[in-house]
Amino acid sequence: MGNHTFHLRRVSGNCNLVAYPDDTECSQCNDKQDHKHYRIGFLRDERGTIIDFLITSILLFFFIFAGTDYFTTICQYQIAEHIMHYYLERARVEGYLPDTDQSDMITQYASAQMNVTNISCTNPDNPGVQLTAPLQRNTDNPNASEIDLIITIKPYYQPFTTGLLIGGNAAPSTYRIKVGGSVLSEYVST
Amino acid sequence: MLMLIITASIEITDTVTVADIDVQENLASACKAAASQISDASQANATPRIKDANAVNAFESSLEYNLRLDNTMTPLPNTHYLNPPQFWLLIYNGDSDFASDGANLVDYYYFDGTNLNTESISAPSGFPAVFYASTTGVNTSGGAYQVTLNTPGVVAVIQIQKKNVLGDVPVVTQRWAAARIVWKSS
Repeated sequence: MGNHTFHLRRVSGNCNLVAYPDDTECSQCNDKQDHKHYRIGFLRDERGTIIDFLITSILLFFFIFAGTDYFTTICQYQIAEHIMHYYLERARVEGYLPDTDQSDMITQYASAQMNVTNISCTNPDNPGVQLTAPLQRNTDNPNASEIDLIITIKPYYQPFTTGLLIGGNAAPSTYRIKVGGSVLSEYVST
Repeated sequence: MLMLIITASIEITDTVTVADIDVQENLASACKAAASQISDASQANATPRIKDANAVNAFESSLEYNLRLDNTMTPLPNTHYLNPPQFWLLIYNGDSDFASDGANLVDYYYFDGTNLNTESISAPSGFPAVFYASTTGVNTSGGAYQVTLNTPGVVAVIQIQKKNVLGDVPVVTQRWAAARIVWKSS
């Protein structure tokens, strides 16, 4: 196999591509401006191989882009987890997540192309009630000192868009990344 | 070759997420929760020691919440994990001064995926105390990772199998973590 230059032209009325070796005169077309020239090293100069190549390329395209889509989504999740764990540690030491920490966290997520849509920092004894003051360490009743932090994030870019090209569904507009964790407060009042 | 690269990129990314972020961070968090379970009597005496029963409960609760396991340590639906984890947890106080308040010199637990068992270990006494984290748990003789406790603390090793994204080769993650009490002496 060597490098061969191909003329590709569209057969009138059809969408088929026909290839002619470069060293063979094109007998079906007088207008050379209609030709496109490709140098494809690994293909034999046989008719039909280009079509095989195109079909294979399309399949490979979807494999590559679907893999990249998944990779990108997991990377976003990883970043979201890293930021969350930092602020979960702060909540452990401070007994809750103060407004200043929440603002800093939102800024960090924004710099990673993610928009925080909700922050839930609660104690399981009072579900749904946001912690606005430090929880004290309590070894006699660990539940009383438990801080549950859940952060809901909307990435700037919706994932899984490759499927749109074949009529599939991308992630809905309600797609969110939700990360969180639970720690026991170590805060002791002075 | 291209398919191998795509498969590897997906599987490796997923494994890193599970092992280095989820399992590692949450094991560290569970160790801190366990180490913070100070016995009341020792705290009143300004020599904090870890109350073993509370520590192991806090350790398990933390893992259950953060790894999304039920109260039998079985992974909940739609989590990363295939089976309950196995873990080894060593709680070391350095002395038995507050054993009457539940803070023993040393306690060593092994959760085999079903039951929590108390194991024996030839522990030293006093500080600093050297332990090793290995693939078979925590010991004092040797292992891949050395941990020196200068104050009461815990050392833990966890092993858990993740769900595969592609293929059926078992991917088992092992991570270790340690935490100790730090306090102002005056």
